Amino acid sequence: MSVTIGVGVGDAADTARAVQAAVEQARAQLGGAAPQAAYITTTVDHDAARVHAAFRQVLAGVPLHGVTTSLGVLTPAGVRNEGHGAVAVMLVGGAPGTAFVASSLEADGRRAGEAAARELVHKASGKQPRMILFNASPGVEEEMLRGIASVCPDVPCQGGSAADHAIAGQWSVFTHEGPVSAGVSLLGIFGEVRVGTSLSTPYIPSGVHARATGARGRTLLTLDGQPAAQVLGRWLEGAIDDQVRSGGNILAQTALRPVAVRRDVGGRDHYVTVHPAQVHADTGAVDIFARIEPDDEVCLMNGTAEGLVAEVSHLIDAALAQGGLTTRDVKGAALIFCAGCAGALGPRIDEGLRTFSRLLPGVPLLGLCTFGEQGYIPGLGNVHQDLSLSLTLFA
Amino acid sequence: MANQISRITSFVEKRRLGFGVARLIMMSGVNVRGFGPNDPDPPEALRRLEQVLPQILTPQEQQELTHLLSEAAT
Repeated sequence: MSVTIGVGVGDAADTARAVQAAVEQARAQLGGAAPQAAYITTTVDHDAARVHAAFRQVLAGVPLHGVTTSLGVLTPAGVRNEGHGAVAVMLVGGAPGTAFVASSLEADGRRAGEAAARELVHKASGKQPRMILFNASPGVEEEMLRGIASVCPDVPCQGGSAADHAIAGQWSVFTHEGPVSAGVSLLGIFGEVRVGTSLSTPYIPSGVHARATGARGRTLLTLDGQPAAQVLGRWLEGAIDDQVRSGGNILAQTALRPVAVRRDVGGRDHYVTVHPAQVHADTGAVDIFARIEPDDEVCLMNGTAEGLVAEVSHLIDAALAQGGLTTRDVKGAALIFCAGCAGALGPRIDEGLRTFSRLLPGVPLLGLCTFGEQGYIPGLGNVHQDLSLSLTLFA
Repeated sequence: MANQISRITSFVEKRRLGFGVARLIMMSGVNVRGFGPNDPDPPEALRRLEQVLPQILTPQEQQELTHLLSEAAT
């Protein structure tokens, strides 16, 4: 027996009714298969604890995993968020042992990744997962992925980081036990399941670059020895002058002109895109949503809304090719779409999402908007980056 | 003029649904859902909303909103 996937979305204002509706839609697509795990999400318009409790009640005994999504829930017909927020669920059906969930609340990222991965493997009686759906709070995803790799080497991790609307820390990670503001949750897929994965960004290097001469965690201090905000301000030709002077959020201004770190992958370039988030006027430092290490070469990237829309078909093609799948094989899809990209696109995101209806008609899709994306790059392993699209196809 | 944030939110929700309001919150950094119709408008929050409205509404919709806000003020 192979995997079956069902997806449902609920947008009633009442949380319990929204969850009930989402589960009913998802169950109806399982063809009678028993759900082995549920990938759940909600916008922060709903209270996370009530969402979790409602799923737990309706899906009694089914392991839960997920994160909150920014902006809305992504479907093949477009974004769902009519006004009261939205909740959604992907049910993974199949024989017992098809899916397990695990989580960790350890503050140390590497230890958290290791602990969650060990729990996952233990639940599967020592078997390695075919792939892992990874969801975590923003902050230390790189270390979490390293921790997972130490337990599950070469297992692809695809996912996204918890998000809210205001970038105000109102996000949650859904572990089976409940929602948490900080932690990691994994949903491992095991057994007779074929998967295709891809992680992509629709940006090209501008040719403008500088050396990171000062960086600490997710704060970029200096580029070529000068305050990072000043360098970025020059690169963006006035677009963030107010913020360089007075400080502030630059997510919108940098969504189509982010920075990236070039990595060599067997003679090819992979650009790890990084979203500059906040300028500190007093120090000239810039908060970012992924790590840049001292000595990294930081490049300015260029993108367009058209490129973002078109990227969806590339993403699907790449995932099909990676998994050796045809469109007829695909039984379900999990899409992670950077919230910054989705915010920059606005209603045009629906054009990109409708690509799923065109290329994968009738395939259940669960899509989230996140504050950081994770995916597997052959030759590089699992990476965390920003302003990216991450796709998993199940067959 | 009071209650502008609440009126702006209602207008965006009617024209752009919850997704539009969520974009407004993300791009401005102002949690507009926290403002009721009788709450005062913090000037800095209002300024940030005004800065991002052109990215969310069409020029015609912005004119309609301006008209609505000035009518409410009189």
